[in-house]
Amino acid sequence: MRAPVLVVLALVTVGCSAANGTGPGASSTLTVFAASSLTAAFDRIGSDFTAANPGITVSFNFGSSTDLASQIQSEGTADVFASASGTAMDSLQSDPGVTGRTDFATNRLVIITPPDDPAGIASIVDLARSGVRLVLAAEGVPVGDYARQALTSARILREAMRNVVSNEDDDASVVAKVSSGEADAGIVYTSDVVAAGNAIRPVAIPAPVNVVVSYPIAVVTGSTQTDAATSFLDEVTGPTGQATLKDFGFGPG
Amino acid sequence: MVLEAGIEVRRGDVIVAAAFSAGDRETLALLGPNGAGKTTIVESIAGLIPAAHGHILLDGVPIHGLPPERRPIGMAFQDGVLFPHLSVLENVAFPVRARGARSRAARAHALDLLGRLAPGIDPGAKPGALSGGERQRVALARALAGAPRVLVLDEPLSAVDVSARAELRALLRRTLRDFDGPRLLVTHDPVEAMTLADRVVVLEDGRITQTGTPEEIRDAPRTRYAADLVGMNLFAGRLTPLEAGAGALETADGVVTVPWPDGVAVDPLDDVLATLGPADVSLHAARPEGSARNVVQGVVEEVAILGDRARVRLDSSPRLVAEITTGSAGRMAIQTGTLVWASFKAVEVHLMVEPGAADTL
Amino acid sequence: MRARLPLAIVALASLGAVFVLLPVLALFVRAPWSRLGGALSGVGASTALRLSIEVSLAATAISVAVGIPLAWVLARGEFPGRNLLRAAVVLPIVLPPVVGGVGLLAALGRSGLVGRWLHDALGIQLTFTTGGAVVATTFVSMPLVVLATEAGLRGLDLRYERAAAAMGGSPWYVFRRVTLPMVAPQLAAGAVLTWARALGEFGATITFAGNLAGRTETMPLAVFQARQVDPGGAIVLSLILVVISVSVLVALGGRLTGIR
Repeated sequence: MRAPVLVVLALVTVGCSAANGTGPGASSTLTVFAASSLTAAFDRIGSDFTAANPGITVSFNFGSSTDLASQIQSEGTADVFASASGTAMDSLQSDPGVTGRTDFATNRLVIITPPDDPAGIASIVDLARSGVRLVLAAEGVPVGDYARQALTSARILREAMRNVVSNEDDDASVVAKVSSGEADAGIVYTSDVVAAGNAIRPVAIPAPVNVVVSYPIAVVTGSTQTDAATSFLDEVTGPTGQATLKDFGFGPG
Repeated sequence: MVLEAGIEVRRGDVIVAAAFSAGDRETLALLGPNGAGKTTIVESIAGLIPAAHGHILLDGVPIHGLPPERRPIGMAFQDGVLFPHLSVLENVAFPVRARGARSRAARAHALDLLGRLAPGIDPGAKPGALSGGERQRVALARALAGAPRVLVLDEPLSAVDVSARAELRALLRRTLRDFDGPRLLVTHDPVEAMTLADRVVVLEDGRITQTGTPEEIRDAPRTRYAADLVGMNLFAGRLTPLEAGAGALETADGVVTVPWPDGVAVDPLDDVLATLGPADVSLHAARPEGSARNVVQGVVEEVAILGDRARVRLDSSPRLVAEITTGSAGRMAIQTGTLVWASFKAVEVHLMVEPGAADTL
Repeated sequence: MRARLPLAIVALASLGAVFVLLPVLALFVRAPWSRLGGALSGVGASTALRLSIEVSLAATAISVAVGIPLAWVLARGEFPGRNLLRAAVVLPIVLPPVVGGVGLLAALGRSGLVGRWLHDALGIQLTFTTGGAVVATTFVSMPLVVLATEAGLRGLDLRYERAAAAMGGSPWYVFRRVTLPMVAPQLAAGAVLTWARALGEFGATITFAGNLAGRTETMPLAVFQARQVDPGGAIVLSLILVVISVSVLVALGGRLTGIR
């Protein structure tokens, strides 16, 4: 009888992950907190940056912008914050403070369906049709809030919300639910479509109801590596970084 | 009702084989040392261990193909094996309920049995609260509760402490006597077998070495084991004080002087059993003069040779079996019809009286 | 006389106790006590709590119903691959729950191995339903009751069941009247652990069943959700879970580990 209890305890202790540390030394590590929608693009920008700046390793922490902002407030371990929402960046403006804030990319919303499109989604108004299994990111998650904003502009918020079968934690989870064929449709960023490839089918949302999301980036006050952090911001806003972002489906900042 | 069994049971690497029958209202003891395969045989008869080969017939009808729950056998297991989560009453009612009787009827039947076999035990008590003797009484009641046609008692006295043994042995004797059908008694205790059984099957190393009445086995044991354990002189009777430290055991065919048991009040005592090893009996051509308190004369009825030993049965008072070397027997020219003297010391007689037994009897 | 404990052991034990207690204590300290009522209604605590209790009880019931026979087969069955089967049954304990969720999607999702058939032939879709939440929760929590019951069955003296058979009990009667009551303590402890695990289940549920208030959003999902919108509310929800779990564990006391 004691064995299961021990097993459970052991699992709890194993379930921890090591903290990202910025160790001293000749080579420094730059810690960048970035919205999870930036994962693929920033991975490439990071390696380009390291190639151009030997001795600086970039360590990324990808997650929901809101989560990242509150982590920065409570832990303060980030040098750079790249957010998928202005609001999340705003919340850092006074505590701990940011410098060099600039919008470096834009993203738009897109409807996605499984490749075989079981519900027959041709435009955003089809999301209001009863019986469509719609997956959104949750309220409070930027892409979730923007999706609701777009549905409101399309005047179908109430009907579409009745079709929502799940409020996911982030855009990647929305993609997973749709690409696996569990849901009929979801609303994510255009950058997600590039990352997902053939597993999903995009349906454009017309400009008048679409939301253009600006991605701000800034150096977090309290960073011990402001020089490296500023170089990284330059890399992101410079021609190479912008070209990479374009490759991954982002618009110019 | 007659039980006939001829089975071979594989138990690990050993094959236990036995063929015997128990007649109607006959008590058959399976006697043997621990590990001889006695329990294996009765559990196979009950259907709990599959037999590799063989047959089990009840009045000629095969029951060896039936699952255990459909064999009409009532079994009291070694150590009782009472269900610890059920009360005494529920334990005894179990076989009745298992066969589909209603709870109320089963309980009434169980209460009746408990009243007869285990008076003074709280029917609501859990088995954990009982003594070894009390558990065995409940196990006995449970074995009888399902109205079986064959009664099997597996080592009914082994888990019972000495003070309760005499009383329980009397209860076993009555229960066996009153049971209407074949009865099997598994035991490693020769006294139990000799006093309770009509016939004895001696089992050693998974094989039957001898079958016969207690007297036949006592008089002519076929193996060393039987000779050492079964071939004992057994005296039963009333014990009366004789002098300080000694008593007279009045058996049906003679009086034996015995040491007074330690810790037992100096008062007459009924139903006392005593054993005497045959090797402790000395034979003499003339009346011996010496310290031995028991000296009797008798005619040799039979001489059985077992290896280098001769077992000599005397028609004396009481009747005795002596074991001497074949050399001595030859020197004394002992043969059937010879008149000899036999002697044994009082202290060689082993009394089966437990301290405090007089109080409970 | 009480055992005298070496100082080092006492010190390490204190460290361990503080380590476990500190996060719980912090929840109490940081809880927005002044606006407790508002925080509760704001994050839909009562809906999530009711759903959590329903889902965890349903998962426990299924786990017990299926887990007892499974434990019996593992404890008593003699067949090739028994150890493999046991490893498979225990697997959900060591797997990250999200992996369980992905596996469930592949098996029971709308286009999964079995789920495809369920959907096409029977019109059943488990994902995004309360049933799906129950399935995911059961998957993760059932091993606890299986392990506990199997341990109980292994510790059970076979003589009792054989005696019961000799007393005229059919195999089913023996199982019901003897086997099951005799492993009841272990079974109960296992069921409580299963329930506690079910109440805290998160990863497999959100992966397989999604997250929708009133349908699949159980307490842990609500906590996760509330972090985004209302961190104070997340703490309040967490506290509710802590209070419920602690109450049950304390009420059970030593019975959980078999130590009395």
